[in-house]
Amino acid sequence: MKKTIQERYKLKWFELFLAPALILYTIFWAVPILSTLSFSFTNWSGITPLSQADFVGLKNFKQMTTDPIFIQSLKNNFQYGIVMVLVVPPLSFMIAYLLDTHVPFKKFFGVLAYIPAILPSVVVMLLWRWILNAQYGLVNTLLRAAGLDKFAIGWLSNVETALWAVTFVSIWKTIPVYMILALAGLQQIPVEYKEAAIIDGANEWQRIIHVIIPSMRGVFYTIFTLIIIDVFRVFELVYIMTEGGPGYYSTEMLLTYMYKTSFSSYMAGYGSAIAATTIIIVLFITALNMKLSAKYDEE
Amino acid sequence: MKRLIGRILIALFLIILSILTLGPLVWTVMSSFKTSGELMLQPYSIPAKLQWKNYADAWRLGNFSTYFINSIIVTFISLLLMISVSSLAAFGLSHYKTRFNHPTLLYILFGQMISAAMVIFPLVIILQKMNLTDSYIGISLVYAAGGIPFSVFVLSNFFKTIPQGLFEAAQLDGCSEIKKFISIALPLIKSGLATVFLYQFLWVWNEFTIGFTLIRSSSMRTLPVGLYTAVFGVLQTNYVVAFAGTVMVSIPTFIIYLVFQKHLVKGMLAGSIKA
Repeated sequence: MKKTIQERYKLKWFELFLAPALILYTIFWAVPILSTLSFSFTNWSGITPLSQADFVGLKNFKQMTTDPIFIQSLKNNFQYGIVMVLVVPPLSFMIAYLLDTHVPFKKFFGVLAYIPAILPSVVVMLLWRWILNAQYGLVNTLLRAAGLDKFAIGWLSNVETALWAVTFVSIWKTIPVYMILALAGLQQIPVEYKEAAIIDGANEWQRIIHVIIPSMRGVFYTIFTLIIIDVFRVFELVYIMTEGGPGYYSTEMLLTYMYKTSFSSYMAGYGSAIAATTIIIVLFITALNMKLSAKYDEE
Repeated sequence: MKRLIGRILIALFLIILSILTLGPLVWTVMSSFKTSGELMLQPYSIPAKLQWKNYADAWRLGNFSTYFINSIIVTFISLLLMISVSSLAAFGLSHYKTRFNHPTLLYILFGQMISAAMVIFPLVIILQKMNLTDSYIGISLVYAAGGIPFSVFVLSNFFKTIPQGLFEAAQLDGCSEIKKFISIALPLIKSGLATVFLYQFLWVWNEFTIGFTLIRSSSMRTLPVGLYTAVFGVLQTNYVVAFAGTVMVSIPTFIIYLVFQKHLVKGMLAGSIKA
């Protein structure tokens, strides 16, 4: 009997402490997530009352498979993602390693190196739009000065280069985040490991490959998971740099296309289906990740 | 010899890295102090004379004075709400063991994976229904809600480090649950609060998607939204003033970052490694 009283007491306080956060979170975050998922089964325009919309089952999802713009966005999103996954982790690790082992004032440089990550996306896009500007941009001025006039093109206005330019800016803004994560990982490696390898006569490369990278497996795993999730969430930077253009949706991503269909084309049902697709992908990756890391912890 | 080459390569790498990271920023700050003519003719020179006028113009012409006030109000309300409800929830989750702990944590954490763009359409509809469109409180409620998953997660990890003995002793002294939270637990997780504050300040202050979509009237715009519209509007051809605006938007971000930067790694370790 005493136990149940105590348990009830605990439960009462648990509820009281959690209620404010749960109410706020449910109304303004969880309900929107569920709404996105449920709108995706309707043909709602987004401007007429929702009650006038019809339930259309999986029609929107079927429509995606034959929508050339959606397929283009998916392709762009994949190309962007593959480059991010291939470039960001190794570069972040390299910079973190050099900072950790070969740089004086490493704290100071660490603080500096993180700056791109703290800047508002709007500021980053302004900066880079200007730097990549065809006529006055920093990049093209340097190219012309070096006599490479034919390479001085409008990086963001050229169909061939826009996606690469956007990817580059994203890398620029993302690397500091993972660099700090890698740095934290590096500093968690017990010094004895490194010392033992030195005593064994291993040179720096051997130490990196046989000692440091293997002992940072967990960190790399986290870095890859976070990047993959982020790839499907890409929106802001692309939307404000190119709005998905130039030309035929050359930098369109899943969520920028979703934004246009939901707000400009008045196809809220279809837009929600695209958003729902990204939500499902991201949650799937997260669930998989939780399963795998639980397994990893057991080993 | 090999050592020397190695050192030169590393130095070179770091120089390139610094130029790539800081170059664009230094150049933006320099440009913000130039005249338009100077920017066109000598884009890479040091400004001949500091044109503070650009900043005054941005403040008035670009309407940054209004945007600044809006951003301060929205950031203040959101963070206050977010951090209060999150620390309560985090304490509840780490202090009372019930059968609902795990499902509740999962329910809160799944929101962490969702980005603003994924839910932006329903958010517009919900705020319309609640008559909160274009209000400080409406947008702040959304920011507060969106920040709950990360905040609760980080804070509950900090609360877990408090030895249970402290609470048991307080219990014997007849300390109430609220008092346990306010006078024992909270003071012990100051560093967790600082971590959450740093990350969430950066998020709310810099946030574009939600602000851009939910704010309709120009007098309610926050700084990132105001900067964006100004650059494609009144300041379209006035680059130097746009640069001054850019610098102004970033200054608070820098200050908060520099003051709280030692909490950066803590947040990352607490918030992401096991997320």
